[in-house]
Amino acid sequence: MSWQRELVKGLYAENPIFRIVLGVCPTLAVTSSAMNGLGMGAAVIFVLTCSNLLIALLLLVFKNMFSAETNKKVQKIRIPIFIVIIATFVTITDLAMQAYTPALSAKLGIFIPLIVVNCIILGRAEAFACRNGLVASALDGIGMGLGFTWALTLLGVIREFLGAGQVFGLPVFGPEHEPMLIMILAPGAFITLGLMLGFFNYLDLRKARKKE
Amino acid sequence: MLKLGTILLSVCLLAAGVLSLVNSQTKPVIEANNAAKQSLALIEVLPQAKAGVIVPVMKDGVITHYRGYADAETTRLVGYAVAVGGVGYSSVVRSIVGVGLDGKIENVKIMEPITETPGLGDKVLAEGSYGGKRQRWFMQLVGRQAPELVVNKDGGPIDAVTGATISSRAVVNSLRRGLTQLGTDENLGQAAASTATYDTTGATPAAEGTEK
Repeated sequence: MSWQRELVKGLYAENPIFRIVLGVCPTLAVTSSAMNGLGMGAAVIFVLTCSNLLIALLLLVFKNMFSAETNKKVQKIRIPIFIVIIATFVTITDLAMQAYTPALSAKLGIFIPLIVVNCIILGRAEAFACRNGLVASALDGIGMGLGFTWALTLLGVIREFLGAGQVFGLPVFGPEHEPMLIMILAPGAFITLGLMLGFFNYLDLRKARKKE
Repeated sequence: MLKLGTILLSVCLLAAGVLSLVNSQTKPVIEANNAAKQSLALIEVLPQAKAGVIVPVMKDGVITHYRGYADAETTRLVGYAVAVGGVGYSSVVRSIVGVGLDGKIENVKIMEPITETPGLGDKVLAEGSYGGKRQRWFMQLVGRQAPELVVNKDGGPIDAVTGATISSRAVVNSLRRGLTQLGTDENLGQAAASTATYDTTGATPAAEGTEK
């Protein structure tokens, strides 16, 4: 359980989108362009790292404050506690960005409230932060966030290229080009994600077969 | 059980306390940001008014529109500005419009952030082929009067953004309402003409109109 491992696993081996398939609702919703995917990813890195850290810290405090028996009981209400912490954190981020970085908020503003419903945040709190120490939890947050970001950006690039004929807002084809509009609409999100999941599963299968 | 309730309650109280603190800190800054953005937008849509000599016109304690003057003594009226908001697909799209003395639109500024469907609704800001020219979507509104402000889906002359008719309609309909109201308030003759020539079913009249 080295710290390096916690950081790297989210990139490929346990990639939130292509491997654990968590946080799919915001993924489908925002990947209509590469920039949107990158923006959502950046916001998630921040919130995920902080919420992981805070939850690990809170449970550490509980451990020292209450008896072992009470701590066992606290397990029953951990989910509502996580949700309160995550929602609080997201709201703080949203307000702070609106107040002190209005330009950035204008770009990313619509993604911030979406983070509350992102399963990956609650998923990491539940699967990792409540069982591991502070540093490991923070590294897990950063790694998972980065894995989420590249997955979203890749989906965004593919959909923007096919659906709008652009990459990061820069036109690739001439002005006469008629893009496949469906790719930036909801069906395009399902088609792209489905094909990508299939592709990564295929890579896995091939690897397994080679081993045999 | 009581103990668990107490723990959850204290976590929630703590979260609420932190949030109210953050809110009280950020609220004045956010409001100042928005006010600054609004006055910048006003100067932008009324460039012929000497910067700053844009006077709000009140009716029943609410700002209905703005008058722009070319001199500090407010004797030479050069145009009007109206701030409007229209309900789109998932949000209210706000815009500020500069209107000449003849009731024709001179400048349009759509306020960011636009929280319509990413990749579609926000295209009202993007370049495209509209009105036979490559220009930003809202530029085709320049020179129009209130009765002409109807999208093509409703039988009017304004090309809606492909895939974002509802967002386009929100902008266009809110501008028409704002201009019609301005025409009545300022007695602008032809601009006050009714809009009955076009069928605007499908529009969402609720919550539309001039912004306070």
